[in-house]
Amino acid sequence: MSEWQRLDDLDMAEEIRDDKGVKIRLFLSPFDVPEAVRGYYDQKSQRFRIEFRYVSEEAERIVEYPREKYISLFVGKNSGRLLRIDVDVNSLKAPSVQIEMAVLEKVEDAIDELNRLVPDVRKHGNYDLAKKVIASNKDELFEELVPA
Amino acid sequence: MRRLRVFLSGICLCLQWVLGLLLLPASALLKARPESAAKWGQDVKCVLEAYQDNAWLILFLLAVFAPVFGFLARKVKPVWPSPSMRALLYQAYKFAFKKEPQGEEPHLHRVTLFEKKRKKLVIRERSCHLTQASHTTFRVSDDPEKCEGVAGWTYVRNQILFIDELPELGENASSEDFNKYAEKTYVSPEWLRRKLPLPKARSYLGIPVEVRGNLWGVLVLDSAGVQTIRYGPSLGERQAYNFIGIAVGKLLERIVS
Repeated sequence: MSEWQRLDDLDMAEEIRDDKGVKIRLFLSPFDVPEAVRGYYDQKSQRFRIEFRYVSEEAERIVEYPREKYISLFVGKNSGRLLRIDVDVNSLKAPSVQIEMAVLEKVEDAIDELNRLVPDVRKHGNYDLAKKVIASNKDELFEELVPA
Repeated sequence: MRRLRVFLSGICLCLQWVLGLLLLPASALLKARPESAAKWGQDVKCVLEAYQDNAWLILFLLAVFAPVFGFLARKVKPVWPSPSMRALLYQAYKFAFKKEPQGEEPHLHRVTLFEKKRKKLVIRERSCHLTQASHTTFRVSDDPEKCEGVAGWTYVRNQILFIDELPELGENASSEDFNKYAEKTYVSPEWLRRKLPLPKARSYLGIPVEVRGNLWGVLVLDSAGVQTIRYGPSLGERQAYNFIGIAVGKLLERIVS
């Protein structure tokens, strides 16, 4: 299982408005910013797994995601934060040289779909940040992508 | 109600200690010989024999009820004011406000912790002692349009919100100033006029606070000055506010049930 990668210098997307001379700035709740991320191949479930760690631990629930059978998304039971992504890489049947790109594409599509499935816009900042984290750390996250 | 809770908590705590301390002599009496106690009278001997016949049950009850009363004492004891939370808010106050408090009216900069109770945000703790008695509440609703104030907006949007350079609402403030202030702070101009001579705040920072994964309330920093809340483009300052929000949430996990 790969080590957690700390996300210390995560630059959170900030919305800045200068409205009629009044300065307004918005950014993500500190509880929605992941502390660390890791990617590993889980032998038990035979799935490639990407996990996010936050300051608050909580139980997870799976998101019903009808469009994509290779991906399972798990969010926080109370908070709705994205906690885990499971990818059935064995069923993807992508050539090993392209598997990293194929998984990244599927995961990004799944997060985009999650944004559409969850009407609560307050969660979208967390999903967008998770997508950004995966893209910018893909080399380290996908090290164990090809099962031994 | 608060006095009653303090009283009950004290009673439970005393009972915990009494029962705990009784365990020692009660255990020692197990080995006492009733014949030796007969020299103090037959009644003492009979009581000792009766005790020794039921000693294991009595010791068991003492061992069970002492921690039960300790648990009840902690449950009944009022959570607020919490010295640890007040100390933490004061540290947030010292970090967030650029100007030193010396020589200024302390209530011009405040850090306030609001808890969501039913459909309102109520004040739970405040860094400044002068405005502790405030009963100001802000309405919250699933509909962002129906939320009141920076506190209500921060809670409903679950985002950190920073507002600076609001117009000054003094005696000479125009109705345009009132409208602009009201619009930017998510209240109505009528609400503002009802609060006169307050509010004096011209800059706000709202931070959502979660307890065990649930949104619990918000922390609001406000200042009567403009550009007095430390907020710059550096990641470090934003991370400091993240840290403050997380520290408050983690402390709340220990002090609220």
